[in-house]
Amino acid sequence: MLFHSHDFIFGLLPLTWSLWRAADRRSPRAALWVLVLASLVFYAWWYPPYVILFLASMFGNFGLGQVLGDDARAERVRDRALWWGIAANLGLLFVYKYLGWVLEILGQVGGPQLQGPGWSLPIGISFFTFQQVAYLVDARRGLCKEHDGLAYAFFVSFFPQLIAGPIIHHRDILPQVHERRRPTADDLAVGVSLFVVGLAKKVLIADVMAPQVDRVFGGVHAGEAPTTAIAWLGMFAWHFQLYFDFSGYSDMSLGLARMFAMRLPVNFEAPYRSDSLTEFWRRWHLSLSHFLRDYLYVPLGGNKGGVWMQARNQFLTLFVAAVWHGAGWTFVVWGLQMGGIVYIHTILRDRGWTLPDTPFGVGLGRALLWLCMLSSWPLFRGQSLTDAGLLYEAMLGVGPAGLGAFPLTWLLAFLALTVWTQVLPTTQQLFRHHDPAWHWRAVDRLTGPAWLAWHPTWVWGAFVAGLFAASVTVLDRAGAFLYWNF
Amino acid sequence: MAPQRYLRLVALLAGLLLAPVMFVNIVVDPFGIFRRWHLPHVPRDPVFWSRVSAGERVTEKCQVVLMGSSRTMHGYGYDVPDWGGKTVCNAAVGGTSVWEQVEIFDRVRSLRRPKFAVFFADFHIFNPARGSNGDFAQSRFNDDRSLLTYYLWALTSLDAVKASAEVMGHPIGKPSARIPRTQLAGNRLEIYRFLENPHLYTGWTGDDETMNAYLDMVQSALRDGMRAVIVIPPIHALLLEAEARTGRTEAEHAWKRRLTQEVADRFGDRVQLWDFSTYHKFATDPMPVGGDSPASPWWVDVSHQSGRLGWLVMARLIYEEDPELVRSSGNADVETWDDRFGVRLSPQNVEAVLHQVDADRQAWRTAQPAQVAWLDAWAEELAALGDGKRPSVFGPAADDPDDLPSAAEIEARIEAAP
Repeated sequence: MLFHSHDFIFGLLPLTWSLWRAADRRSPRAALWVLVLASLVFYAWWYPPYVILFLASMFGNFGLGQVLGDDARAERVRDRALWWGIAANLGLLFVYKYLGWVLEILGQVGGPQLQGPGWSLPIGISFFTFQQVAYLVDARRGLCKEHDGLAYAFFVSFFPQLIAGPIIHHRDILPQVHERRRPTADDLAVGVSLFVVGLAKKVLIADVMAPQVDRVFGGVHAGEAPTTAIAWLGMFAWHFQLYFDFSGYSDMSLGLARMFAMRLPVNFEAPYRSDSLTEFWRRWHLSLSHFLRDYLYVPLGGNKGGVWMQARNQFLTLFVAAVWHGAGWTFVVWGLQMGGIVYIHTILRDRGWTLPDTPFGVGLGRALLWLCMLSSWPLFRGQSLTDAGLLYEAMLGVGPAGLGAFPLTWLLAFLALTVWTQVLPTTQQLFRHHDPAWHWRAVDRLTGPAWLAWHPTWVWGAFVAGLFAASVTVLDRAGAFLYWNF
Repeated sequence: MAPQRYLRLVALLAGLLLAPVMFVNIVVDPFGIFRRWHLPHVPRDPVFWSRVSAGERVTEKCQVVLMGSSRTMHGYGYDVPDWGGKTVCNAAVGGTSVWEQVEIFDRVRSLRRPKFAVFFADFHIFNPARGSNGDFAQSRFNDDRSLLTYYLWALTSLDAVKASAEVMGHPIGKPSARIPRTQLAGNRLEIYRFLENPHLYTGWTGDDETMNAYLDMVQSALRDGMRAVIVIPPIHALLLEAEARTGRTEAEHAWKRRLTQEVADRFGDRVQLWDFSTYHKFATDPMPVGGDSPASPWWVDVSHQSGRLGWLVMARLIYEEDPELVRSSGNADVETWDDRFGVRLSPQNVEAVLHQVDADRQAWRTAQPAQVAWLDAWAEELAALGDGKRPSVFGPAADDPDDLPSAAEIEARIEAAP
């Protein structure tokens, strides 16, 4: 089920909230049961048989966590259990996400001609796999001991984060479960407002870009050569579609959790305001970056061992992050591109080649970041390297279709969205007086004027109501979240 | 403001903002979903071309169901006359495909099991690359959609508002395609579409998949105890001529041969296969070639039969089994058909029928020089433009794909053309 569907907004959400509220008055544990069951319904809506897989993963990891956290057991047994657990989790991810592609490559290089199982990717598998791997590792390290199966089930299945993140860490959620904070009207008001703001970003901005994006990338895939203007139009449309889709999802996710008196970590922090690619990855999909930092980058050596080792570790981490997004050569090359740029940037920074900390330097840094991202989209969104090649040709003005003209309406729309992404306060900043998320910080020390900050006022009420009404009228045109596919 | 008050305010204002939208969509009811109130000056006809409307049509009491493409949709209209006291539902949708037909028929079967299914088979819907079209996803043909979503969409969506505005005669933005007001304009448009969009009209490519899927659909009707008949609908000689010029006739003949053989092998006498796409008197009825030429009463345009001809096709099918029912209809058109109107195809006669079609084409060309000359002139004008360009009557080409004129604008320009 999608957050921006009628079934969710007018069906499951109000029903779950009402049942949860009623149950919470009797017992917080009953309320937790309501949320876990609702989350399973939410998950099953798309393809019910995968609930079994999901439950198996959840129960298996919880059981393993008990073994890992049991100090009475021998170290060797617990080590072995950890490695088996990690292998099983990543193996499941591999089978569903990468096996078909790997077999295809083997066939192409002269290996046996085998076909993948052709199973569809279970929604959220990339997220709940990483979440549980982190839990297992920390259970082995002795950082986490959870003996309550219901609390664990809630930690893994809580629907606001289930399908596309954030990859929540047990230390962010489990204490909240045990603390059992009483819900307040403020939680609901903040949650509803955050959710509506995110909904509007998704259906009124991101999904308006989608047809243009599909037309350009779909046209190229069908063999049409775009003009230079149309190719750039496609890249900018995708640039903003991806941004507002993920930003909208993240806001909705935070808002939903807040309606149930929970807080999730911030996952999206104005990434297009970064001055470098390194900074970008600290602001885009923060929970993935944090996971990879804690469980890959640091174990690889992190910043230790000199600048070359640091650059190597960053390269490898970014490469894994890229391939996590999808199975295909385009993601491999995209990973090499992202990792390569960060590698070079780390070396240059170490030698003092940095941009000046002046408005000009910051502006230049951001312009370079945008150029870097825009030029990486043919790989990220293109369906094949051939498609990406055709788009690069067109973008460089050497394609067969010529230059063409950039439609003025789109130019103005992109300018407005550029200003938005650079200047306007983020959702977290707008809601700063009401603690919208864990770990948020004021981007660029910008918090926006006090009058703009969210409070339960008439003006904000009218604004939120207007956004909601406008969003409802176009709900059906909306596509799935882009991160749903990852 | 207290948070509780804030929440009440948001709910109230959102409700107030959505109320007019819901009111318009209920009162105008552009897809015929609610059928509750009808105010004066509000047309009662749902948006006919929409799959949402088609999905609603099949929820009505329905003993005979008509499946097919726009040819069937326009040929039988929304209120198909009852036949022999049996209610008839038109489940046809424009621009359809075999895959979509299969899903639509599944829906029909699950809702109401009609007693008689008439499958109007068009060559072009057998193209395996064709998928679901238009608002299929919004309609009740789409199994993935819950009823809650369906009704809320019909109540609150901008799509429904746009359809309401169109029903009221005040389209928002570019209006949807419609049948041009004059037959001459319609003919130009259809032949333009056919010649300039070969990918749209590429038909059966010789694959087993679409053929099997289609015949499985017919089989499912038999399995449910329905009577089933497959009908190749009428096409005007002008369009048959345009098809011949693109070399499509041979492919269409191959499709008919295969369909005939498969129907005979699979169903024997249980399913009849009728072909009305031959050169009978209605297909060769002259079309207007200039502003003051008379329109043919049997056609909407060269590709779409009129309701009058559609009625005759149904009458012809029923006449075989119940001539009295047809005669007692009192419709004088019954007297106008001859033996060449509608041929029952069988493996024994299919070659002779196809041979006759080729011979009739030559005869038609000789007998109707004015028609042929009109087609030549229009085809030459289109050909002279080259790839990707449009006739001057459609307006200048634009770089922005969004800047293409709407179907209605194109039609208006064709109508205004000398």
